Amino acid sequence: MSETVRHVSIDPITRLEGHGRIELFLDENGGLEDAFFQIPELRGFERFCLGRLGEDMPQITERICGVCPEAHHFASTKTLDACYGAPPPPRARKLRELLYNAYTFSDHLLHFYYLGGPDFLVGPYAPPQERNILGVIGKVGLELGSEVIKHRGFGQRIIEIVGGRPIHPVSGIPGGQSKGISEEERAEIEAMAASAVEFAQATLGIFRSNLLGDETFKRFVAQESLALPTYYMGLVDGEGSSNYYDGDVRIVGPDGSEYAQVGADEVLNLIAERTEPWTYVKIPYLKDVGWKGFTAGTDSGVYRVGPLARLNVCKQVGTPLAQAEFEAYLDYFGGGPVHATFAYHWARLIEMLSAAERVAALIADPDLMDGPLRAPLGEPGEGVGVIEAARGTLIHHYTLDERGLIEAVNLIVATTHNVAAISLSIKEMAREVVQDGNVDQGILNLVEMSFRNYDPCLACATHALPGQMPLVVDVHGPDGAMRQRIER
Amino acid sequence: MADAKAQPQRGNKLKIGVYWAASCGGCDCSLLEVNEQILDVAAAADIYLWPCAADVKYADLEGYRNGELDIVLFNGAIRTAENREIAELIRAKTKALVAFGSCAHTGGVIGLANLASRDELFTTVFGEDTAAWPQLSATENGHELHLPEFLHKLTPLSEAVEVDYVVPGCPPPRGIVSELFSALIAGELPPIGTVFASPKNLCEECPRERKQEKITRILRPHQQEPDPEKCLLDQGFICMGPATRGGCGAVCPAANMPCTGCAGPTANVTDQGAAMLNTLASLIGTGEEGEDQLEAEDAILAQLDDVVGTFYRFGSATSLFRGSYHERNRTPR
Amino acid sequence: MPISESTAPFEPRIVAFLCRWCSYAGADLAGVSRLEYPPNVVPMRVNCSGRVDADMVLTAIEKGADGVLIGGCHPGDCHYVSGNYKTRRRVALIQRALSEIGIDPRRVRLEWISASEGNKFQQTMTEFTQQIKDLGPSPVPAAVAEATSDG
Repeated sequence: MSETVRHVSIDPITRLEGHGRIELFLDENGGLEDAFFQIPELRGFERFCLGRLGEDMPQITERICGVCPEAHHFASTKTLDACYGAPPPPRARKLRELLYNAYTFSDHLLHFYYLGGPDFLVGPYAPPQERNILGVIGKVGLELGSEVIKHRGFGQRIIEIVGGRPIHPVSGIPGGQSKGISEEERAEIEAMAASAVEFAQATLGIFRSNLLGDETFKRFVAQESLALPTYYMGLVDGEGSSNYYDGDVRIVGPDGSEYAQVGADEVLNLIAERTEPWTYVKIPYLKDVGWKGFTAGTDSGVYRVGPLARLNVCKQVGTPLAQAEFEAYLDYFGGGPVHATFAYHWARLIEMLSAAERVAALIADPDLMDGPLRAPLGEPGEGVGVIEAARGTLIHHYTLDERGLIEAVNLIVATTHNVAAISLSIKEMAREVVQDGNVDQGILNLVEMSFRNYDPCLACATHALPGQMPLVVDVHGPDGAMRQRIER
Repeated sequence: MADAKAQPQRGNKLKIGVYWAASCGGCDCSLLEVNEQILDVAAAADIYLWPCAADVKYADLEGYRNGELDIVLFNGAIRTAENREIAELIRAKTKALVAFGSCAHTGGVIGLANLASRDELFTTVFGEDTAAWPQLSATENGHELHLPEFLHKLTPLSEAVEVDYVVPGCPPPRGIVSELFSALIAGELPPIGTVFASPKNLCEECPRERKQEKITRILRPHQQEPDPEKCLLDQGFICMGPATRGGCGAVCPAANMPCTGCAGPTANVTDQGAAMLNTLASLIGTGEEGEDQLEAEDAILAQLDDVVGTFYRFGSATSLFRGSYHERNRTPR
Repeated sequence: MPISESTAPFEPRIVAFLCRWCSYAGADLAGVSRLEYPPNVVPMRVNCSGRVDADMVLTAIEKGADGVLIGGCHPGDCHYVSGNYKTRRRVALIQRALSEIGIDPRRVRLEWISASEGNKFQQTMTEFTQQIKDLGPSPVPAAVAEATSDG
């Protein structure tokens, strides 16, 4: 090639949920000049949820994402609990938690084996046609491949039993659950849960040999430029244990010190957002720290959510087997907080194990089989619900009118929190691997691997908060220089 | 390693594709709900496109010959100019095109976006300052970046390109997906135009006992725990079953929740919401007809809220009214 | 694009579904009695107002009708006993749907007109035509034009 390549598009990015594009601009030496992570999709749930019946929101908002519908379904249901002043009775709450942890297990499994994991399970330099679940099965063998399929099936089956459907469940109602489970179903879940715990442990074993044993993975984990010293956000319970279903929102700084620990309704005050003209997604940041550009550090409001973040904000994981894994993880890094972005893969598997343990513990609880499924409802009003989606903190906030219709709706969705960090990670990786104008598909896949750490859900991401959040926009002229800052 | 019976009859592997337009990813996941059968599919077919699960890029898709793929399962609605362009590209590259899932079939839940204008939607999402809105072209640090246009109205796949098969549902249920895969693997796709669902309405397969009683009071699902045996409509819960295709096993009524109509209308119905409006008008009543009942009937009708969101939840993009009008305060831009 | 104001005043196009036993006969009576009323109405005879369903009304509006009138027998007089009661409930639901999507529900009107009420037919048509004139043209055609205007 006589001329250096100056511009490359990765279009579309693949092995994630949603539409995205990476634009790479190279300088005259064939190194990276700039990189942009663009999300070209938008559907507008914030608009068409207005005027809907409040109790329809769990089933409407879960269509934001079909990979994590349970997250929206129960964030929404919990919001309605708050709107009606009706916390669910123990039986309903535990059924929800049971489903929710099965979902967490299933979603993390999906990412490791089907989405981001293949890059390491098959190999980062494997041909593209092998970098997928079929390549994984080809590499690890049909027996293990069948175990992968079977256990994902278990997670989905538990969701189906408790929630009515494996994808887009229906059981969440304000104050409770629409149905219980039979004794047969309970026994079925118990067997699946035990197997899930074992499989999660086996997966961690695979991680240790295939990832921790892989030179490229180790290099990326150790590389300082790929470790972002950001703030971290996640839910913790009263004892500081990680909890996916409920808790307070805890935010820690890059040094691990506490920045804030607040209830769901207060966290909305801590976050501001900005738009960029070249992407449909909005970019949240910690308002009081401020937006300092796509950069990480104590002075930058960029923060992260999801498995890496949750392990950074918790004092302990909350279940014994996962706790042991967590301690080994912290040992490897010499203590927390862990900033290495590629550690997301490890953190995710620790959570997969913890979620399986929680399912196994919950299914043994006799409360699941006895007692009311619904709490009496008060008058409809305003409410906030927070939950940890597999990918990060998810908040729904509704105001219902006197007939229970949606008057106002705000959503802060997991991957949205990570958008700034993802942009940063992509740029750092591109800077690292794009040399001498070489942008073959292997190099480009390395760039994509930087975002796959986050297990992004871009259909979710393009649903950031409208209305009440402070918004800052930099308006650029045609020459790219900033002309104007608009704030509201 | 592959089961002998899973080999396609022609001796060559099928070339299949999966694509998502404006989508949530649920339809992609629904393909995995068949669990082990996916291995039979993998034995019979090579994946030539599947952004969620495989690394094929648009440049690769453009490089395929016209008609090279045997079949593409296309989910998601046409929301942006890019969705439409890729739909057209895929139509050219494949022999058979399937509108897979509610969004591709009838526009889906996200069709409710048509109830607002594009400007109204952008105002809600990005604020009133149009300078703050994403742009089709922008320059950042001297580099040109582009976004696809967000179209005025969302449409189903069939309004962009010709569709050969439809698999309804949000997402299509396991049994139907399995049926489709079995047909594919055996090389025995049904006649063009086939809809992979029951031609009858959901009531036909719902196990609840229906007596077609008068609806004397409209109930919302959280207002009362339903009797698990009786028809939900008979009890006063608005269930879209009479106006919706079956084939899903009535799993929502089995979970004590009314059908919301995700599989779209039965074959002879053009507008699913209108069909349900008609049905409800017949069912609502005090038990007697007469001039003296009118006031009581009005009181029952007044209990209904969000008619569009209830009756047109998945079908607003293909409804007869096609959008929103706001004639009282509509100002030209 | 603004709806262009032509120099000619707006002449509404109104579709009237009239039941053959009562309101269509009433229309005929208005005709033979030479009662004048605006020519904007396209009458469509149906056996019973109960035949008129949401599809028909919504289709008329989709195709550009500025107003839709449904004429039926008075309560208690329906030739098929109770068809008109169902019509009444249907029209209520249709009007609800129209309000929610931003079309003025007054564009759809239900009126009980008996076979002997030629005068009432004349009066209703005159009033309804004026009401639609006041409401202006249906917003549907302009919206359809905008929706199909994507580049």
